[in-house]
Amino acid sequence: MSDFSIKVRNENPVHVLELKGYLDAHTAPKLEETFQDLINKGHHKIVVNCNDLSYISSAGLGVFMAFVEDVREQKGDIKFSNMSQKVYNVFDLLGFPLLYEIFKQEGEAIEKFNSVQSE
Amino acid sequence: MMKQSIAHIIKTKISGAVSVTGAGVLFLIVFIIDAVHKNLEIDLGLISQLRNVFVVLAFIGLYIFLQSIMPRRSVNPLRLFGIIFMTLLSFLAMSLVIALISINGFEALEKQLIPTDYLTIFFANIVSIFTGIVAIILLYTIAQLIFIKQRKGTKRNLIIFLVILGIASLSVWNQEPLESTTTSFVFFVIAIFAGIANSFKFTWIVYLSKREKLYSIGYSFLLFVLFIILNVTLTESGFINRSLLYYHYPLQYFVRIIAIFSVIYFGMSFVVSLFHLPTAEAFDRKRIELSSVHNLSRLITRVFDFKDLVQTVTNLTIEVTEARSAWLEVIKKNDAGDGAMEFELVALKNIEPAEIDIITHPETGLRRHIIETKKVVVIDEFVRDRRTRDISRSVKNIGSLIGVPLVSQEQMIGILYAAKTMEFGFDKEETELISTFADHVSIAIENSRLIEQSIERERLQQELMVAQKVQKKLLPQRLPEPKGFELDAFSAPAFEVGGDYYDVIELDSNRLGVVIGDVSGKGVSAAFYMAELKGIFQALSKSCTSTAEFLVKANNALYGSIDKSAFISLIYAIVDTSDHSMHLSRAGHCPMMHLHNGTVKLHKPNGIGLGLTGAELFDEVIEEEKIPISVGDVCVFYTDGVTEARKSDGEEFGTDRLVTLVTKHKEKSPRELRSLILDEISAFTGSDSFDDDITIVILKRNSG
Repeated sequence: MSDFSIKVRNENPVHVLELKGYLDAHTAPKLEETFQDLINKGHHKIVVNCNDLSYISSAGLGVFMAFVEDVREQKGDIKFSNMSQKVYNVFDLLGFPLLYEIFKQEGEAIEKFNSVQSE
Repeated sequence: MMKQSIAHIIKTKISGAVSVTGAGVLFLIVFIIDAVHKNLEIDLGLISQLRNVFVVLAFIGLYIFLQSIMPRRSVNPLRLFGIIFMTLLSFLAMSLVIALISINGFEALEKQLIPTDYLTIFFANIVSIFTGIVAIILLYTIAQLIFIKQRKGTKRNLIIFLVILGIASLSVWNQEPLESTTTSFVFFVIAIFAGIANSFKFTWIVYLSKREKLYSIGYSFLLFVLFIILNVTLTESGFINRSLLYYHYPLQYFVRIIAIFSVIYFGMSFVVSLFHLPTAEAFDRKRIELSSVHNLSRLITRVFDFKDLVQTVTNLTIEVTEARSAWLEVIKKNDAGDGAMEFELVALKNIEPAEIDIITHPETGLRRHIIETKKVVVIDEFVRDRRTRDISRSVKNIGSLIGVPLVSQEQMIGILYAAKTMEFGFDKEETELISTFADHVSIAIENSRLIEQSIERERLQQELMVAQKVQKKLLPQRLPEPKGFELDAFSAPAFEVGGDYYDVIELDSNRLGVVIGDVSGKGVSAAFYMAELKGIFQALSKSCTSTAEFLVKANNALYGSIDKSAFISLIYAIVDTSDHSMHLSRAGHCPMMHLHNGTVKLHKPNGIGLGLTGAELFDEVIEEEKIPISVGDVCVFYTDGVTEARKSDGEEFGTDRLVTLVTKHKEKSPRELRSLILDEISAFTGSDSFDDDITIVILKRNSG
């Protein structure tokens, strides 16, 4: 069940988190740690690539909720991309698409960050 | 029991007093007979025989008396040595007195001894009685020495010796004082051999400490020499010997045999003690080890009380090493890596905490060396050793010091210290001994901690069981029975407590509120929010006319008040039994499954989960749907525990399976349908337990 891993990629100024596997109550602390680490280092522009994410539970969603306010205060954001239909359904059910920007491709998400910056 | 033993003591005392009085009377009679006999130059015949019997009876009386006053079963050999020594000294003192007083003594005539005057008779009586007493005390005390470590045959051998001693003594019953026969000589020799046979019982020496062995050597040698002197004083023509011969030939035999036996016994005792001396120290060590093993077993019974355990350990350390003071510190938390160990002084004896602070100071003290080496650290010279030189000025009365790390499963769990006033107090053996001791202590401490932990776990488990009970009470105990509808509900947490919630409430005579919710996360934190949700629902539902209104108010209550990472998904329906309609609003929850005319429709009005966002967005998004409910319609409310129930390979039960199941069993009652769903899930996951909290509420319209 703890089949979950995170890869952090620096796409300056954006940081991309590649999530893989099951994100549930057991694995959520791992993601929490990663977020905390990024924020501590002053990285507030975060794209979460969900390409290999096979499952997300409410505890997993809670992690984004815990940090989104902080990063938005710092003029950053958490954006999502490459979501499978299944994972999207979970997001959708809870109304997350109203709270977060979700993109089909990672590049679009990064592009969004950059375009906002250049404005 | 007590009364009996007191009665026994009194009885012994009385019989002792009677015996000694009787003996005194008999001795007096014998003296009178002797005195009378001097003037009558005739053979007294029967009276003479009677006199000899009186002597024997008198000594038996004395023996009974002595037994009543002598220490019984004294286990200390040195004390017995002391008694023998004092007895011997008094005998030798008597010999000296006799030698100094000029007594005319006896005249040897044929084989007779004729006392020259009454004084001689008097002294002969006194000397004989005294010597007899000495002999009895000696025999009694040596017997006790032999009995200290009783083995098979010990008692038998001693009895054989006593019997032969008796026979040998009695063999001269009818002999004249200066007469000696081969028979009686043979008995004499046999008795000596029987004595020798008893002179190999020295097991008591083995169990003496080194100190005691040294005493034993000294005493044995002294007694050996004194007994030789005693034997010399008992030589043929001496007054004492002649007195004995004159007084009672068997008594003389008895005394001589015991005198010779004593020389042999203490000679042997000297030699054996000497031979045991080189191994005495090792034996001492073994003995202490043995007793510490015994003490360790005492430790095991104390693991249930940590404080008691550590104090016992400290006391035992002092006992085992004969140290002046000892203390024990344990590591609170062993943060591997940064090496920051926090020590806690848990027990101490004969030392001030302030002194310990100096000795174990993290930087200047000894502790650092022990942590670095993870080995026993011995300070032979506290004042001079470079490791303790600097701190020795502030700590008095320490000559040598030892610190032993307590290690359990390769993790250091504490340090045991012991200090002695003298320098070089901890030699190699002692260090090994204390290290072995420390190993056992580590295990005991670890066990004690494990027990404490499991007790704590047990306590938490109990608390959770209470929480579970309480939470069960938060769910409806009985469902309302609205006219024309049938209801059923089921809820089970994945753990002891969960975050799922449902409730059915009669808002008024024809309106029924049905709510089902799921708090994010699982376990205790979810359970708290679930309870809060119940409160919100109970408080707000009746004052809200629409489902959306309730969700808006609930979101207002929750947003900002619960943890940022927490949120609640909820679906709320108000069923109107008068117009057979349902008003439905959803806050991020799973859709409501509506079976109508044999097909299932998933109702999913827009709405964001509670607690995720403020009123601005939430209120804008929230929708309310109105659904007509026909006869035979089935409405299924559920949490994601149902649709996300997973097989071991990760496959989810899914919404489609649920839809199929509900469609297939559209004729069934809500109760039947519910159990069919649960069975199907169990069959699908291959398990009777759920990974997630699971809740189902089913509503069916039966009639008009």
